[in-house]
Amino acid sequence: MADTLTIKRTSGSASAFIPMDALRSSGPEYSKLVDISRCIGCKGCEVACKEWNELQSEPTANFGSYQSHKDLTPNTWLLMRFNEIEVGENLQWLIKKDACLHCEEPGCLYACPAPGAIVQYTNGIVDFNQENCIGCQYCVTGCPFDIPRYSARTKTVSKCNMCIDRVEAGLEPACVKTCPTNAISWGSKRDMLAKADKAVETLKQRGFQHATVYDPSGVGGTHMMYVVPHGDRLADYSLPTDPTASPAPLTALNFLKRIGAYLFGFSLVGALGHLLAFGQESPDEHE
Amino acid sequence: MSEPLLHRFNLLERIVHWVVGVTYVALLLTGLAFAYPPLFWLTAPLGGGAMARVLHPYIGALFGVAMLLMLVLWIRDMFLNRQDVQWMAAVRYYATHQRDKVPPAGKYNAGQKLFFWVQGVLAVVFVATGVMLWFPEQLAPARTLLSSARLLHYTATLGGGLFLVLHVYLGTVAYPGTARSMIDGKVTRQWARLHHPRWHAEQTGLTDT
Amino acid sequence: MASLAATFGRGAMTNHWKDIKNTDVVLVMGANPAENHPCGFKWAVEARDTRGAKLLTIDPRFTRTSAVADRHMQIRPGSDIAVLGGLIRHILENDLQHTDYVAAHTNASFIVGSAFGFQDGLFSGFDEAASGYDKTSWEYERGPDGYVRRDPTLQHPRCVFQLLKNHYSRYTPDVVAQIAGCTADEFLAMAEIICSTGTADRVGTIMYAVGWTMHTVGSQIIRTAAILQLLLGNIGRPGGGINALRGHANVQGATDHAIVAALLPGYLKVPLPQQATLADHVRDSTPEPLAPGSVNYWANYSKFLVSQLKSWFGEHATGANDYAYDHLPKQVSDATWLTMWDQAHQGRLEGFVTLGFNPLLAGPDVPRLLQAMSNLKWKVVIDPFMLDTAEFWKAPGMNPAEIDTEVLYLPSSHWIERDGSFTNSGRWAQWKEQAVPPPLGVEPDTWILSELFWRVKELYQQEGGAYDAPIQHLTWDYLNPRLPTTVELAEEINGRDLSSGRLLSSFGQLADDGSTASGNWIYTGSYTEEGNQMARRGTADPTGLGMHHDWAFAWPANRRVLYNRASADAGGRPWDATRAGIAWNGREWIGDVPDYGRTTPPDAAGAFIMTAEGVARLFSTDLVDGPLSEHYEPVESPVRNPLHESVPINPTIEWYGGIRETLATDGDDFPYACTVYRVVEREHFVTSNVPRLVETMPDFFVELPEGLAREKQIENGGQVRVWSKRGSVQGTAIVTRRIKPLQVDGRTVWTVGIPVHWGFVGLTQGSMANLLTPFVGDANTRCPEFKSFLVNVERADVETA
Repeated sequence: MADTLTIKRTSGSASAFIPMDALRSSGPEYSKLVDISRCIGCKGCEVACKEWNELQSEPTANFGSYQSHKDLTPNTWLLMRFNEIEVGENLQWLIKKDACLHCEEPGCLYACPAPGAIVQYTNGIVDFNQENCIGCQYCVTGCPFDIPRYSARTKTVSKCNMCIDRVEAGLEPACVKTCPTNAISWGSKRDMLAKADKAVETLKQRGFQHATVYDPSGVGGTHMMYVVPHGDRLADYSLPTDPTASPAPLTALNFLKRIGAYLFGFSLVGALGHLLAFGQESPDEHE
Repeated sequence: MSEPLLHRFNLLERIVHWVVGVTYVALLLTGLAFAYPPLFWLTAPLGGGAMARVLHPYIGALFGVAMLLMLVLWIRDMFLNRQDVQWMAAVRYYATHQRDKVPPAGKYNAGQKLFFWVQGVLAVVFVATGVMLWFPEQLAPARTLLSSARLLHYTATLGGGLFLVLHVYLGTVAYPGTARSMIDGKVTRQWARLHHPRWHAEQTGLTDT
Repeated sequence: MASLAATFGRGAMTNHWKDIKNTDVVLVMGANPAENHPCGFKWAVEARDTRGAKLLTIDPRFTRTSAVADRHMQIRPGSDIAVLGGLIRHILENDLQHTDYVAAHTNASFIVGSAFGFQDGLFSGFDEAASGYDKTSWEYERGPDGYVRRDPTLQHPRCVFQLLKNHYSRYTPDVVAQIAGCTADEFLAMAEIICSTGTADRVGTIMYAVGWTMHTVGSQIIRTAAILQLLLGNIGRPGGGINALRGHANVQGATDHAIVAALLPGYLKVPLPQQATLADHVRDSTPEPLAPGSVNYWANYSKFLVSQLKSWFGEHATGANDYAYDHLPKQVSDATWLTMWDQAHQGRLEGFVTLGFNPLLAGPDVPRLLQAMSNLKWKVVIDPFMLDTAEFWKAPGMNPAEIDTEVLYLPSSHWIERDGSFTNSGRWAQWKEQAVPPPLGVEPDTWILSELFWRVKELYQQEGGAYDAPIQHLTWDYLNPRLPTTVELAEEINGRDLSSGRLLSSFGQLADDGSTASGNWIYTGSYTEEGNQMARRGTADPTGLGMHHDWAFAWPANRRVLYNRASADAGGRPWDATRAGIAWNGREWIGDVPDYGRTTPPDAAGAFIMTAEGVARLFSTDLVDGPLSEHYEPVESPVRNPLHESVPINPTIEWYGGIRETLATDGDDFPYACTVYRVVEREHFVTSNVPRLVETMPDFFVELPEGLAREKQIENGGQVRVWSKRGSVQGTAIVTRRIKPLQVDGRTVWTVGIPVHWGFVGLTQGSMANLLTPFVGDANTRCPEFKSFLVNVERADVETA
């Protein structure tokens, strides 16, 4: 089933802050679901992501880890992060697929000043359009998950686009397609939530008391959700406990900007009013 | 009218002022374009959003240097004194053209001095937060720090911008004869007597009384 | 694989990948499927999540498989038999065996002759001088009818069941802990789960790979696991089995087609010099039934061999000339690869041809291999990529001026660039299509080998030569004799009725009168008159157990689970109706393709048709190092063997000249156990040519435990040097908590891990792991002991370029 992309919000427009619900299509709202308890860290998704999106291979070096890159880069939109922790007496090797979560309330989009550089579609995908990107990197600041990466070479910011071209053609994203253990699933948000709940139930039966679904409300939920076995140790998965679409300084900024717009207006009106009331004060009249 | 004109600003001062002025306006306009999507078209004169993003910090750097120079040139005239306090207390008479109730000002009145200091302080804020926003990748993922920098940068814009409106209004429309001091550096004696009586007296050796 | 045949009759993964979803317990040991078999491993995860199966790993390291397992136990490399023996004892001491199964389908009741014994680490019949056993004393006791005497009550002191109980009684939890380095409690917690499947309604599976085979006791480790699974009644059942995971897409296919020395395709045997005639060879190769009702399928040996000879030599194979039996080479001595390298090392091998293989990196003791290769006159390397083996003279430390070996490199097409079949671990032969054409000028192996054949044949025709008949008479009946197609080859392997010319549909049609031809009897039925069965893609799954009989072709006879007769009780009723392999409905067996006559009544014959006993062998005389398994230390071990200090290692190892001197002795300072392995990002050595994969795992590394790193002041991400008595490697340190220090026999043993994927040719270079490994192999298969040896480590402050 092909999907028609309907824009829900775009950056640098009035709709950035007030979602145009009227535009919401009847098409499904998608979500990826990453069941961390099924992930074996094979990095198949990492490679599939690069292949499909034609991202350059980068020179890497082992830095004392199974992890390929230290961090996401403009050419690495998906990174498997490895972390060894102890839970009680048991060693756990946490392996987490790090990539854009495609927030329902996208902090990157809210922060972006460039019209059309960031677009959210009604199906949940938040896409960066590099041709409209001005390279200010406000989106990097706006993202609660530290996902977008700036390229000094292209002077633009990139991140996972959920293989939007595949989705539009009715296919699942490349990482989902390639995952050998079905740790990554793809479907409607509703179906994925149901699947996630079931996975959490299974985990609890297996003794993971704190298993949880990661679909944080602070960003309105995400379109890549995680099933997290140790839900009480989110930081060990490098998942923020309470992410917000707009951190306090940005909320204040947005508020101030509205006031500022009026103040600028008033100042011009004020000057005109002063002129009309008192006129010019020429030295001549005092002679 | 046949009296000779008074020299108020030398060439260097005028150049520095206009470097600051032009960069300030360019920065304000591009900044407003970044802050207000409906004004994004303001980036067009600089070659569009991406180019504006590239140029804005360079212009800012030039602004910073010019501001520094301006500080060196003018600082000794800008210290506030007791008379300035009295002047400030009477500012409403100044605004309503009731000159007789305004204490005589020197080369700069208290408002101008205040404008100087406010813009000076804001310049520090602009430059400091601007450098952070110029190279955010060096600080990432310092989300709170960078967001706060954005907030401060904007707050400075708001403050500085409003002052600029006032500055331009007063310097051009409200008080004819003022603007030429930044063009050819000269003012008329009448203008000087009206706006800066004590400075007029210093320059001419005359007093009104 | 030798040990699976010794136990069950066939040397292959008993079940298949998707079947793992049907299990209740998955024991992963001697394998790391998450890394090395990620696609198949999904079914283990599926079982875990949908059936609530327990997923367990026992390994020297906490692996990526352990990361998704329910429980992990760390053991010392080379202590597997101790652990598995402990599990067998746990079953027998606590009566946890599946008694009905053991009685119906194993040789538990068979009585062994009174001469059999085991003392001080040696079974009866040991010949010190020959370093081997005379197996006579291991034989069964025969009754007056010629069949083996049996005691169905399992009480006879010499019945296999009692021998087993007695033999493994020494493997108490404390002894297991003492040898393996785990705690007795850890072991018992594992044992409780693993041994929970000895009931009709529960079934468990074992996934193993080269982590078991690559030991001097590799075959016996697998034998121990086979005994364990038989006692628990897990063989032949959906969700059960011993799953031998194959490392490459087509290792099983290569094995089926005689990649192993001393075997012909289809597990027929290479004749021996004393077998002068076909009749001699057939007589020696055809077992006699040992129990009434034994199907003894190998009685058909002559049909398979004669059909194979007809396939190879066509009209030149006739009844009058023993079907060209004389054309088959007779094997005088061992021809496994260690022996070949040893011959080269001694300067007694002139040259070799290698296809799809990088032996320099894949073999043990690389310094020795380099020496051996330098002794060759010539070497032909046929591969899609330039290999370290072809450029061995460029290896670090080599002086090309001193090497006279002529190397010929022939680029061949990659499997992506041609069609053909892969046979996966689960014996599914799956046809694949060409994905992309090969680069201009690059030819497939079939072209290269055909050219080789024709040019040798032409030379023989022009010049004559010693024993040219096998070459002159070889059938090469292809449309384009210079380039046989894979379809032609598949048809030839499947076989034909020679009178009608029709393709055969089952090996049951093969005859030993020269009327049929088949290149490999187990593949008969893979390419029939109905078409290419390997290319079938039907997804129907009427049993719900994932057998998918309409998908591809599984040897033998499209059977999905081997020995599936054992999935039902003596009366033919499935042990577990929800997971029925086959079931007797009064007239015929339904379900999977029965490993049994389709209409043979349940009580008419034994379940294991490939053994002379008709049942599976808990006690088996096939292996050279014992009818039961015993824990022997690796040839390089950090500790003594607490079971029998005088016989610490496998007494039947074949020692090549000069090898003992290359092993660490007590006086040497090699205190740490080391094991080598593979990582998921790389596939052996070929992926060093793939940028994306090099990117995901760029550098050679050394994994070592935190405590050891602290002691040696090695930093995570820093450089570390590891050396054995044979060589030295250097790489990036991964300091980890996933390897813990073990308390073994009263002292602390540290384990170090090293991946194998690096060489000096490819996008990135790195140390060759096999610079360290010992040149010594399993007593049965000569598979080298890669998985356990001794090293020392130090911080390396100078970074290598």
